[in-house]
Amino acid sequence: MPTHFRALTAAVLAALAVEIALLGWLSVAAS
Amino acid sequence: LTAIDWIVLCGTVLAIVALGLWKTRKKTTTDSYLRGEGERFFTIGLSIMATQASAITFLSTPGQAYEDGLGFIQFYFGLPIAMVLLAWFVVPIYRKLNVYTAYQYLEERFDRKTRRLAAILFLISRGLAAGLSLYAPSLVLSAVLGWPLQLTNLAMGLLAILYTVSGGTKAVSVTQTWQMGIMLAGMALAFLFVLHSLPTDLGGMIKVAGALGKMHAVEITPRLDQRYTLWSGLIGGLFVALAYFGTDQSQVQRYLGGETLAQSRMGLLFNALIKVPMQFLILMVGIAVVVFHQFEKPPMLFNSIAESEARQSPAAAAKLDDLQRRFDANFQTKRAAVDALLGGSQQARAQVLQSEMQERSLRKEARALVRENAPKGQAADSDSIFLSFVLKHFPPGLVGLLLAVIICAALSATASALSALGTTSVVDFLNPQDKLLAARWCTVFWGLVAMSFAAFATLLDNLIQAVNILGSIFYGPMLGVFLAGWILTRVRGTAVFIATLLAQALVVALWLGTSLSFLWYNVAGCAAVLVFSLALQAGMPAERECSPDQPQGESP
Repeated sequence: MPTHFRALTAAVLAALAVEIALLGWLSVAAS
Repeated sequence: LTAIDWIVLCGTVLAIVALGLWKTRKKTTTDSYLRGEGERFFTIGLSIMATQASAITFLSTPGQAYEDGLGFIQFYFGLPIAMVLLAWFVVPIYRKLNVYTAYQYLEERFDRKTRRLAAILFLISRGLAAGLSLYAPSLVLSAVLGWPLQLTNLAMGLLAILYTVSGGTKAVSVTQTWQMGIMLAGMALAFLFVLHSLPTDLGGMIKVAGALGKMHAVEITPRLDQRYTLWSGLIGGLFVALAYFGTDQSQVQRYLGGETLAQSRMGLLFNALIKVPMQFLILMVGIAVVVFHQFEKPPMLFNSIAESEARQSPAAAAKLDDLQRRFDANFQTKRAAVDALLGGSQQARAQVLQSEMQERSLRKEARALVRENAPKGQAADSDSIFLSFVLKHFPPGLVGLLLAVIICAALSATASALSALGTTSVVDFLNPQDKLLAARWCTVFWGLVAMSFAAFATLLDNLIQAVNILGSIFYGPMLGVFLAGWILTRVRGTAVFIATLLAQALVVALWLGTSLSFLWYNVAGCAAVLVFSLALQAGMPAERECSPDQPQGESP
């Protein structure tokens, strides 16, 4: 598997984790 | 609508259609028609997104945020994971076999009957859903703008057929790139405009929305009866997305025509990166609208045509008047509480929430009254929220752009469905000499099926629900068949075929007999195919040429 593809996959999953964390934080902070 | 709106609307929609026709005018080959060819990841990614984004996405989603807040975003949490799994493991299989449809893979892996079963399930569910993707926006456009329903259906259907028949998959992806651009730009402008119209800033908006209980995006407690939680989103959403993007030809077709394997894969990952933020943007438009309506009184009912129909009955009119009085008084109380909240009062929070609950219950009562007293076949009140807001508050030009967003979405979802239906009919069933000509006729045929379904949908209220449910009922077992192919190397065609029929029966039983959230049907249906096919295969005599520990004989 090409290296850039692994890096892109890691970026996609990291972005998802960050999005969920931010939305979770927003849920708590705004209510 | 003003003249500027008509110019923006028609100009945008027709220019994109013309572009699709122009770009594919000369060199439409069988390959470019059936599967597309030489696509870059950017086009693939946008095309995947435009296929999923139907008009109802843009009409209903802001309305959903208006009513229930951000919770719906959780449905998309499983999607990026599904994209990664598909990009790593599934796209290479399809590309290696050089297939035109996902169902061709099933014959390579199992047998012809399994391929045909999956292709038939696809043709039925997608064929009807294509009708719905025309009908649903037409219904709302006719409710809010008073456009003639059948004419709107006809115009959108014919436009979609025109460029899909002309250029096939290639024309669909060319137009979808631009359509998706318009959709994203339109929604971003809509959000900025509503935000700009608020008497408070972004911080104030979030504070008010939070007090209204609309900012609860993530529900960590696992609850089976609640439709969207972090867990149903991650697990259920993963299964839905695997089924939809991995086995539904209208999506598979979008990435099969990648220039290289890497471009196809990156197209999926591009979708994985953009999807959650895009849905968040659409939901935030709804949040901005609900906050706007804390300062300016919202209508009690958004579908004013349905309301005036219901008011024909004097008894209903009197009850609606009474509800309206209570609604107005409640709004004043809430307005004062919101001002106090923004002034820094923490006690006001409880009052805001209480008044919001009161408003929701009054609106619910009013909607029930309208449902009882208006004729059937009305657009849902919550689906009319966003469009009625746009018409009332947006400046000329922007109204036209937002209508273009909705029509682009309807065209893009319909065109990719027609293109996939045409390809599947030709490749999986007819297999004629002149595939290109046959595919064009099949696309026309499915376009006519979709348009006729849209034309008669008003009469068949229950059928619409059935089509919506049909999709979620078929997806689990459909994913099960493919997963069995991908991971259960010992299972053969007959076992998986019977297992699929059994799993389908099980999902129907679950739907009729339990109150399980629909996201879980996919998990159950898929798991059932895997378990049943393993059990059935264990009880069947091993097929000589397929058994891994037998010599392979003459087979290649």
